[in-house]
Amino acid sequence: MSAGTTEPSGSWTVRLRERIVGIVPSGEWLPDRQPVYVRSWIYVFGVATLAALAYVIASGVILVIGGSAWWHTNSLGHFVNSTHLWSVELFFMFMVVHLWGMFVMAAWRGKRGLTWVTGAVAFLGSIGTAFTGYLSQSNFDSQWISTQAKDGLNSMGIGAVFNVLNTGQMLLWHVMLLPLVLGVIVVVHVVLVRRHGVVPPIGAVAPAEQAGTPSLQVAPQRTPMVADEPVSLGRRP
Amino acid sequence: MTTASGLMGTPDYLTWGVLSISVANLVVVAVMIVLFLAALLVPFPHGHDDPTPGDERDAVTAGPASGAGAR
Repeated sequence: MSAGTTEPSGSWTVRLRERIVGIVPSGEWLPDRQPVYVRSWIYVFGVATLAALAYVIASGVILVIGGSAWWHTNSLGHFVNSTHLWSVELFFMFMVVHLWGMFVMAAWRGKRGLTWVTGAVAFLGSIGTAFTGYLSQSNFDSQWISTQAKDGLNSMGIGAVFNVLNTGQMLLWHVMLLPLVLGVIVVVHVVLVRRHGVVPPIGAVAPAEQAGTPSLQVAPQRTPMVADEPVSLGRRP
Repeated sequence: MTTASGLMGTPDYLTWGVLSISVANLVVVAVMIVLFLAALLVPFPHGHDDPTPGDERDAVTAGPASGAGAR
């Protein structure tokens, strides 16, 4: 494209940029205003789950630096390992409460089916990731769990690929493969939440639906939220 | 070497027919249920920038369940 031309470029970078921008409406990536029904604790547990996951990843990275046996011989390693465990406990507790809340609200309403599915897949993937964590403790606990799990997995024909008695494989799955897959699923889940907006309680109407516009076309955020919709939360413009 | 927790003692289990659960796991489940109920019933605190009552922009026109989470 020559300088000064107003014709849109056919470059793949432009198409990619427009596609990325179109995924989530402008102003919805990090909104400072939400519908009034979001003022409920039940909506807090999603982001609480993300916060716990962030700490799980951070403490896991530190454990990777120290090595798989570090926590056995070093008090700092033992402390970091313990916080890694307890952040996982909190992660699952928050995620289950989030799951219950979204289930009773039928959070798949309003074309949010894929958001629900990615959340469910993330839940199942988290169980698998935590399971390989138990197998990576390098102690009698991990030996016991692996010997108990092998028969069940072998009966399903999984053992040929996923061998719980192979400590190296379990450790690599736990610190590399599963976190990568789970991370992608979580990112997709969060992007879908921002794309479609949080689900309104049953009986309530989402601002975008009330305005007669699909949620994907509510942009920019501030104008319709103030002028057209009787909902606000947070700082006024 | 520090031994991982849970290996030094025998955990207490509750058994009811074919169901068996450790007391620790039962406590975790109970805490989750309490958290869930609290999330539904405990009012969310108001911030300094929240709208004042009577502001027409802040009237709730949603259904009866609005403003109360999943209630």
